[in-house]
Amino acid sequence: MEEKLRIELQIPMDTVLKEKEKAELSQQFANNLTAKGIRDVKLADTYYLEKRSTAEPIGYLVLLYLGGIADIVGIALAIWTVLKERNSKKEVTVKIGDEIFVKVKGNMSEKDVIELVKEAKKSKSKRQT
Amino acid sequence: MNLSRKQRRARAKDKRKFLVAYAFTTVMFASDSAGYISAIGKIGTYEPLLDRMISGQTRGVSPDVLIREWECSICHKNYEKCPHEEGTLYNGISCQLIAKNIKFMGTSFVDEPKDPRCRVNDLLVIWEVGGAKLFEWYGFEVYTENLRFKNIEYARSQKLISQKAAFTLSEFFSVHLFGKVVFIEK
Repeated sequence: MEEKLRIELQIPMDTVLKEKEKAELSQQFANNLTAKGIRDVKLADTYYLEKRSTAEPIGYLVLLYLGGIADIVGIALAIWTVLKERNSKKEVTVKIGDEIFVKVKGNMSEKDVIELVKEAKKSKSKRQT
Repeated sequence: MNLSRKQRRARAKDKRKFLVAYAFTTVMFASDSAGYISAIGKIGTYEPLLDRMISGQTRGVSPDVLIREWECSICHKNYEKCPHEEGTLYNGISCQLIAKNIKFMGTSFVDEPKDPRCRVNDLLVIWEVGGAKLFEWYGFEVYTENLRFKNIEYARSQKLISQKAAFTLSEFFSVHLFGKVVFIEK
């Protein structure tokens, strides 16, 4: 059986979303992940995370997806596409597996996103050596 | 060689070796009752953070919390499914969100916590001096006096301090609201 990849999105939120809005948002991410070639994308969990340790407490909506093994760049680009479509200025933290962390913003260019992922991959391999 | 008192103290400080420190904190208070969650932070190395705690600069505590459900303060149902909007007035009552089904994920020491009641209340620093253990107990301001005695009792039950030390501390803090107690145990 194919091993599932864990994709966790931490989206900063000013308020709690209504059920319909949350479903729309999570579906949009799932559709874009599928469009980038990630198979069997499934929303495994959603919850809110409140980090009060910062000067201004930040609330995050966490969406946890499971999907077939995929290209890391494709995942980051899928998230970036959603943010761009929504004209969002939010910085979404993307955790892929247990190793790769990238912070994607809607106002970045495609090239920036690809560079960001390459950097994250490099730092991962450095940690492993 | 005659040494001044200050010099003798400085030399004694040089000889001691830091072992561990424990920060006794209150991390979260319930909004609708006097309930609170307390936590103990173990500090394994002598960091500038300890000095900042002792000086009072960094004595705040802020937790990271995972929330699975939000309750609406108007209808007391799941906010995601109810028709009310946060911050809107309904018959003169503002709609607020109440966190339900929460899980405490961890805590950070900060200068200014969101809730000023969330603070380091007691600090136990353990040193080694010539084969003996030197304990420093810093009692800071507490939200309720009872909390200090709970912390002392917890430290005793976890064998961080001896029964005798716990008695000495309780005796001291039953007279003084805050302060520092130093004791050595062989």
